[in-house]
Amino acid sequence: MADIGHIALILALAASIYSAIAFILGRKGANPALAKSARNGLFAAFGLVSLSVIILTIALVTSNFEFRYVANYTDRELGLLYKFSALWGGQAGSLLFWAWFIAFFAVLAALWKRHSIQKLQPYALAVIMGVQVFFLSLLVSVSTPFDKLANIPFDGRGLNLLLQHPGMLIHAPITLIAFAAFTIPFAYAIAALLAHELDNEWLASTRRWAVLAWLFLGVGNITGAWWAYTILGWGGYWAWDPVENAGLMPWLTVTAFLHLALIQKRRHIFKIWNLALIILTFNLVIFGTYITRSGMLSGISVHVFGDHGLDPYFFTFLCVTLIGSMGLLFYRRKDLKGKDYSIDLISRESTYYLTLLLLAGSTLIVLIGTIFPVITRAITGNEIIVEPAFFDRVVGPIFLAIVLVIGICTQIGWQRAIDNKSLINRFLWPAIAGLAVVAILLIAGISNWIVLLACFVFGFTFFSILFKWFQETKVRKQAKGENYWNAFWKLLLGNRPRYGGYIIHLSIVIMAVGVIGSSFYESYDQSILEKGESVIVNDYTLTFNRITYEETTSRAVIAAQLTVYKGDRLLAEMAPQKRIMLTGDHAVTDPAIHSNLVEDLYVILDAWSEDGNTILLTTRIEPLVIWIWIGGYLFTLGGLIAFWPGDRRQTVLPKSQSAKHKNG
Amino acid sequence: MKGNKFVIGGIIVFIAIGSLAFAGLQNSTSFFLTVSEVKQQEASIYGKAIKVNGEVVPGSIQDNTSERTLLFTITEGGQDLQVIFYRGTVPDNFEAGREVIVDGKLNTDGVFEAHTIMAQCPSRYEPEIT
Repeated sequence: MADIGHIALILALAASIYSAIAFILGRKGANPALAKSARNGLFAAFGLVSLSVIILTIALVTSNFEFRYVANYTDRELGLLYKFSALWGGQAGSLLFWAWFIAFFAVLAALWKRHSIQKLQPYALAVIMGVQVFFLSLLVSVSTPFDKLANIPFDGRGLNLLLQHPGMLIHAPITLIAFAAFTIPFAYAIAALLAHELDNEWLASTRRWAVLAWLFLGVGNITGAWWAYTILGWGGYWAWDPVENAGLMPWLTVTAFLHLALIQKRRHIFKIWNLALIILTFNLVIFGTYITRSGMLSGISVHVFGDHGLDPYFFTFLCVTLIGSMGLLFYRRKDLKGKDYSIDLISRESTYYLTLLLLAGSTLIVLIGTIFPVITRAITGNEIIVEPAFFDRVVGPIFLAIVLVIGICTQIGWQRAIDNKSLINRFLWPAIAGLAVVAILLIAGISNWIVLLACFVFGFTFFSILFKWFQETKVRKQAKGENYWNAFWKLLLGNRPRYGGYIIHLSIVIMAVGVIGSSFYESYDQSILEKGESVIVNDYTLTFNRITYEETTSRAVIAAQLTVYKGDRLLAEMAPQKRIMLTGDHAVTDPAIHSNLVEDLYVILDAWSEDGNTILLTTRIEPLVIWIWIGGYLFTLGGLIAFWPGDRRQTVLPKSQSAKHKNG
Repeated sequence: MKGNKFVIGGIIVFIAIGSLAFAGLQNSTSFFLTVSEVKQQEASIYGKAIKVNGEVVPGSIQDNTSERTLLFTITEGGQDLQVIFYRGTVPDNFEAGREVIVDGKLNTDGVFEAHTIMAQCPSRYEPEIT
């Protein structure tokens, strides 16, 4: 079976190479038969990669330890879902999963019949096949999932306990799918440059793919943060670790792209920026994969991937794609002049431009911070690490500025068709709402000026969006004589990208509230407790009852049983745990978390005495953390609404009407 | 707004971000050294924020839960460094023989006072069965 999987990958590689070459040779309708066979090669490659994925999946779920991969990442006792999740849990498997989705997206792109992109198709599909060739080459040579063991072990090593978490079922595959999806917009950008079709066609074909990849990466980052929060036992969700930064940077650049693309679509400007952003996004994905899998930053990251065999290949690939694509962009620069279009100082265009600068600036800061040790080693010989505090202090204010720009931008239409007075009127109510928030906080006793400033911005932007949405609903209600409910729904369904965008922007503010709350107002206690003793943290009283110990053949769970009162009221029984993998010789902390809308009570079992009578217990109060996850759900919802395909004619019409309406 | 206004706006934003970054760098960097580098530069780095990378010496761990201290020695390049850790949360995979990074400062008595311990994650991609 393993051999069939391996051979399937070799054949898929051959098919992809053939397909890439045939697409280039068969372009411009010179040779229709060749172009057709190139497509068939692309389909065949997907079929073959799928076959190898199926073979590996069957081996994983049936615990076929003849496969070295299966023996390394699973054991018999592992639950079925986690056995399946090992498909992307190891190095080779994650690359296979990545390659599989590239192949899948390639099929979707090839089946796409939109007339305006037909000139781009052969180039774009050839580029996708080129990327696929890189991944398949790794999979058949240095990182193969189909190695066999000569002596089949009775049991496998098991999956790392940290990975036995729902996050593994959501975060990991979603992030990998996002990484794969970024290949498609990149391919169309390169195709536009190669085919010399530099107007808006490539944008039309790219935007939806970019939205898809952006949505998946966003959800991937949020679920990754949630995973870290619920298992690592440090009470945090984001540590500016290189691995996290690697997921954040491409998300920031693609966010900038999605906004500027809207302007290019209407005004035919920012052409170079848009191409550069998509090219950078793809290269940041490869760069992130490179730095997190090389030993380059092994001193800084707690979860740098241990296997260092692949970094030379990723580095080479990165150099080729980055230099090649940027060189191509430079070569075509003269043909990328935008239309001569004058932009008002106060206009949507200028606010989007500002957003671009802020997003690009924050990406640059994150990039420099991430590779700072490498830079300083090269210059001074000593590695200097920047602490998370650096990112908080620098990226924090930039993100706050972005939230403010969201609120301003919402009130400014396309082009400036409003006088100063009505402009001030538009900002008046959101600003009053922001001040009201500040007033409430002052009454509640909050005096930190950074928090007050941030909360003013949050209030301003949040209500700016809500007011705007309400006004639009009201206008429709009056124009069509519908009630509010109908007007609201018809408006939403008639222009999903717009209202999906509103929801996403609201979700950003909600998440920001959670970040501010948990960054500025967390409290911390560490205490030694004897049986029956209690510790009081804020208004919580935690009583240690006993230690429990459970053991199966390969795992042990040690839990401290606690009774928690809030004031006089019994709140919950909580049981922070350590889970120990007896075979793999490692342990994980499972904090016990009690959430409500105001704060999380976050309890960690640090240590215990042999006799089980004494424990060392860390208690953290993390205010407002739940709003990050609520914002995350809302973000996903907004993203799906914005992305969800609608009937083109229906969605396009009201949009252009509303644009005219706004301009007029 | 013509092109050069764009450029000016861009420069202003980047100067703002640049100065923010420069200010942010103050007091938020630390040297990353190995044990032997710490021993070499000992006198010049007392009290500075340092991260040190080394391997936990087997048999050196004294875990004193009641006093909430953890004492151990890390080694690298033939040099040893004694570490004292006033209990915070010890990473799950902290154990003898493991590569760790201790984050803290070197006291004048030559003992490294750590406020954080990070154990190098055996990670996703562990040593393999062959």
